[in-house]
Amino acid sequence: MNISFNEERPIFIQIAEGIEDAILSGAFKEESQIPSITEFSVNYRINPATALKGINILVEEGIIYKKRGVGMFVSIGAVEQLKGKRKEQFYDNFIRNLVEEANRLGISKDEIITLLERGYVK
Amino acid sequence: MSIEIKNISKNFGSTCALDSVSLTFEENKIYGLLGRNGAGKTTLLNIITNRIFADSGEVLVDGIPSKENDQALKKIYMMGEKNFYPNNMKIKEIFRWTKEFYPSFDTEYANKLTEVFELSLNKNVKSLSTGYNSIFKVIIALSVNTPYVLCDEPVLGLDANHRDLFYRLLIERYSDSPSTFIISTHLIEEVANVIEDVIIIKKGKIIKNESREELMSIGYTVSGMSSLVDEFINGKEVIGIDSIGGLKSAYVIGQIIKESVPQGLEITKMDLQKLFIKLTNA
Amino acid sequence: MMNIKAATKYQLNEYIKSVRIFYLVVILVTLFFGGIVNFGDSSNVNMMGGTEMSTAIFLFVLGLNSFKETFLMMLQNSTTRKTMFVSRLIAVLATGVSMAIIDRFIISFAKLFTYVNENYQVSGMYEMVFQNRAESLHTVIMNLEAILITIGVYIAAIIAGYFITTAYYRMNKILKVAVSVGVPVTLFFLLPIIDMSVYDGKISRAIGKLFAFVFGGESGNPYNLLISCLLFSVVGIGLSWLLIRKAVEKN
Repeated sequence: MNISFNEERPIFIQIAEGIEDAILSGAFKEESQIPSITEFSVNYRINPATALKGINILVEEGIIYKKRGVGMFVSIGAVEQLKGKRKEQFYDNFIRNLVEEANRLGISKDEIITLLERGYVK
Repeated sequence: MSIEIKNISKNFGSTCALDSVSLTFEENKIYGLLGRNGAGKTTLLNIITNRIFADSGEVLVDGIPSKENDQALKKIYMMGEKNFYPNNMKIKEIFRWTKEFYPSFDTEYANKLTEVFELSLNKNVKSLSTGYNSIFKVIIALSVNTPYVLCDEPVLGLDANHRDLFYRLLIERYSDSPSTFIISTHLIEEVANVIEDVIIIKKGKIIKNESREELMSIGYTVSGMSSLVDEFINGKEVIGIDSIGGLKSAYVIGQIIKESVPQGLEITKMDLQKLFIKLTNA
Repeated sequence: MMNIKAATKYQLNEYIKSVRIFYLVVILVTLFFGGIVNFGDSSNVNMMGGTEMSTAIFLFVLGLNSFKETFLMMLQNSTTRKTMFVSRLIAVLATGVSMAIIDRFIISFAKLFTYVNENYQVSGMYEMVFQNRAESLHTVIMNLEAILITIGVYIAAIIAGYFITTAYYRMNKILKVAVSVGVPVTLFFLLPIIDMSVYDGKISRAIGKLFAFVFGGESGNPYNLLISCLLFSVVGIGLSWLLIRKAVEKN
């Protein structure tokens, strides 16, 4: 997995999202072990407390579970759960921005629909 | 277990270097001690380590006053920006003596790090470049294993690769066996993700002392067309404004409700570097 | 005082480095002259004496050279001024005692040449200053007493150097210049003038008397010298401590 941090949101949220992306793309499979807090923090040069905070979000949501003394694993059903969560965010993250940017550029609703169709043809 | 600084004041002649500074460095945390050049960072670290004396106030290390106390001071290693090691001494001799004074010093690990940084153990201190002068001290700081490690401008003169290497090793070392690291620097951007708590010092006074997340959530950046930004920030606490042409970015203190942001304005989080510059500008 | 062992080891080690070089030179010189005298032209009377004097000067310089670098190294290694001072005194004592004993051995060794060649005369500083007493004592006792007196002289020499260098470290630039110029001018210029013109030479006579007393007085008692050296050292140590306890890292 590869995260390039941006300025907009807190690092721990970006860590959580990076792991989510990796699970969705199949890089981290369900029931498989994910890297440790140390590996995350060393790899991304972030404070271990920050990495822990990000991972704890996923643990609380049940996407990741901890095995004492062994490490952290992706839960069964994590992919489905993530898809559901991401769908909910899809409107906020993409549609709102899409419409906003379209308004700035003066792209009409019909034009957007045409563009969308073009996107699917490709 | 902590370093407690109580009402420390220090004057150099008529200039006030520290003005009644009080703060606590807790166990096993990485701190960023940030401030512009001459803000009082080094003076504070020098007082903690008994290199100079405060005019008033005291420093407690795990409850023991550090002033002229071996027992308290042994828990601290400080890598200073300035070199305190004899100029004619070879790196390997420095390691040998460090081991004498700090039995917890891991010579084997230090030797390994010299290979990683490509530093020859047979070199004299005086033959080292600025970068390697920082590197040999950084190596000791990472290998000394004291409960408190103070680093004053640790990446001074280091190239990008070595800086990155230092941060990686620091986190590795911290993850393996946590201890308190205090990193004093004016280069915030690089250290921002590594530190947990931020202390900002300005003209001898602590102006911020909180977790990095808290500090960054105290405000936000709003950007867009000048007129829109002006309208939006009206009545809000603004610590600074950058403008290019008709566009403006304002750094605003306070919380924001996303829905209240008018169309055409973009909200991003407060950037530590910018916040620092705004807060420490005279 | 947790660091006292490491600090003493460090400061002794620093001394030893210089002492080794010093003795290498001394031994070479001793052998060289011993050799020349014995295998060369032996009709002239040759003398070797005062090894201790060169050691005392060496120790004074050693004392002069040993403040700043060590002070910073000690601070870097979490050593308090108290600990570095006490360990310094231990190092001074150990160096003074060892060198007094070594010098006695060198002198005794050099005296062996005198058995080979009668024209070659060897004596230590002690025998030169306290000639009558030295001749009246049994060789073993004489050597032991010589060592004891020499220890006092050596310690005083290091302490003198150490005090001067500490004082200079604490002074600012102006004071340094003032002292560097003022002390010699006062001692060698003002004092003699005042002495001559106002006191009619009383001051120089008093100084002369003091020196005569220090070096044994009329009876030639070597313990006057020992006690004077110890007193001088105690005062020097006290003053040095006053200077060091407030010394700080300087930019």
